[in-house]
Amino acid sequence: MKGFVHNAEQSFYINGLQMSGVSSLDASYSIPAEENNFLGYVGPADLIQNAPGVGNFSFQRVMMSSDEPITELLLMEEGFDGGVEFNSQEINFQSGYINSYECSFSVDSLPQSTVSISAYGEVGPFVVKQKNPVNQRELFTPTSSGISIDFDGRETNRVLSFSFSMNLDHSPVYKIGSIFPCEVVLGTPIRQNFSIEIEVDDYQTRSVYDYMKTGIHFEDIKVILRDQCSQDRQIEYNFNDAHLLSEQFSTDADNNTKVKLNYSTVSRHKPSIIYR
Amino acid sequence: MKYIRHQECEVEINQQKIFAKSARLSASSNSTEERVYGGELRYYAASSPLSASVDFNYYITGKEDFIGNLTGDFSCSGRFCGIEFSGAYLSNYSIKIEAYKPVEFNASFSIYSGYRGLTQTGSFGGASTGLPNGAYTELLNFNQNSIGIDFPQTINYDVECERTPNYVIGSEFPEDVRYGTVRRKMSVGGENIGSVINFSGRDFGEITVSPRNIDYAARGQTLKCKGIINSQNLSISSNGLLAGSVEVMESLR
Repeated sequence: MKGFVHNAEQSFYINGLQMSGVSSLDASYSIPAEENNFLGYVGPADLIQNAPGVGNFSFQRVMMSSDEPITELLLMEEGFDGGVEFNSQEINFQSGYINSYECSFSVDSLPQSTVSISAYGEVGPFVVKQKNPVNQRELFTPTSSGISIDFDGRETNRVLSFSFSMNLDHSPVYKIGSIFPCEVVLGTPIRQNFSIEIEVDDYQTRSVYDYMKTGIHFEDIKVILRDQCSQDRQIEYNFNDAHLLSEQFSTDADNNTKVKLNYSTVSRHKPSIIYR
Repeated sequence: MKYIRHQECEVEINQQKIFAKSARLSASSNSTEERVYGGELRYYAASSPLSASVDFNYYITGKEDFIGNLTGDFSCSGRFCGIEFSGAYLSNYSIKIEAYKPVEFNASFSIYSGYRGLTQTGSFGGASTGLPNGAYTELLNFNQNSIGIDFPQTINYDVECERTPNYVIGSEFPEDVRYGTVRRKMSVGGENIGSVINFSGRDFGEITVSPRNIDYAARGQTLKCKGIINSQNLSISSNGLLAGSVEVMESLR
C-alpha cells in the first residue's frame, strides 16, 4: 500500500540502543525566524533566521524493560545521539539532551514512561547514529501489592500507584562564528516530583492527618517496585528530604478510601534509582 | 492625513536606501523661559543652537556598508519619510553581533543644517537576502591568548566621531563643523576575561572580526580594533553563567 508505514517497520534509538515498547513518538525541528520588515521596503517578503534551530523528540513507552538506559542519560554532560527509522528512512539527531522524564507505575498494569529530548546541532537523515545490536528484552511489571513505600521508618505495600517526573533545564550556549553550541549547560538544582496513591488504613490515616496538621512533612522516602514474575527484580527510588506539597483525600460508598500524596525534592545529583 | 505605515516610510543617506528596522528623527530648540522681576513671563529664548539628529538601526546586504565610510570629515544628506536634511555628520556608528542573530548596525547623525519638507510616503524594492549573521561571522584573531575569551557571545563595535559646530553671530546654522577626536571601541562578551587588567593600563589587545552571511561571504567591512584594553568585567547571578567582557579602545584621531 503506497504511503503506509507499518509500525513494525519503525524503530527508535537512543545512545545506540533500540527502545522497546515505544507506543508513540513525535519528532520536530523548529527554526525561529523574523520577517524582513524594513522601513519603506516593499521587495520580496522573506524570513530571516534569528535564533538557532532546535530539534525535539518525545516518546512514550510501555516499560517492557526497565528505563535504566534512559535514566543513565538524565544528567549527562555530553549529548547522545539517536533517531527514528521508518520505511528505510531516518531522522537522526547528533546531540540530544533529556529535558523531561516521567514514569508511572500502578499495580497490575504495565508501567509507562514519557521522555522528551532536545537536540542541538544537526538533525536529519544524514546524521550517523550508533546502533548497538543489544535489544531490551526483559519485561518488568509490578504486581498487585508490588509497590511498597518506606517512610517514617515503616513500610506499607498498600500503594496503588506511583509516578515520578523531573524536568532538566539544559541551556545551549552558542558562540559567535559557530553554528553548533559550544556547550550545553545543565541548570541545577533539579526538581524531582513524585506522587503516591495509597489505600488508607488506620496507620496511614493517622499518619496523613499528622502531616496535614504539621503542614509540611519532609522525609527520606524509599519506593520499591517489584516485578510480577521475579520478586528479586526491583526498582528502588530513594528521595532525600522530600517535601509533601499537597494531599488529595477521596472516598466512596464502595469502601475505596484513598490518599494521593504529592512530593517534591531538589537535588544537584542524578536521582537515586537503583535497578536490581 | 492617514497614518504612514512602516513599508511606506523610507530612510536614505546620500541617496542610498537603508534596510532600517527602526529610525528616529528628533530636534530640540533648547528654549528657556525669560521672566522679568516679579515673576511675569516675558518671552522664551533659545539658550543654545537647535540640535537635531537622526538615528536608525539597520541590516546590510552588500559587501560594504557605505555608512561605515562616513566617519571622516565630510557631511552627508538624507531623507527620513520624505523629510530632507543635509549638513548631517555621522557622530556614532555601531555594530552589534550576537550568536545566531542577524548582525545589527546602528548609525547616529547630527544634523546642523536643519531639515525641510513634510512627511511623504515612498518605498523601494530589491533583494534583502544574504544578511550577515553572528553564527557565520569570522573571528580572525580570537583566542584565550589574544583577548582572554574563547567563546565570545556578543561583540559590540562602536565608533564615536566628535563633531563641534562653529557658530557665528547672526547665523542660524554653523559656519562649519569641526572634526574632532575619533575613537573606536570593541567590546567582547564571553565566558572569561584575560589576565586581569593591570594598574599601568597598558595592556594592548587586537581584535579583528569579519561579519559573514550564511554562505560565509563577507558582509560589511572587516572590523578592527587595536588598542588599549580599556575595561574588563566579570559578572554572575544565581542560575546564571559567569559572564566576562573585555573592551579594547583605539584612538584614531
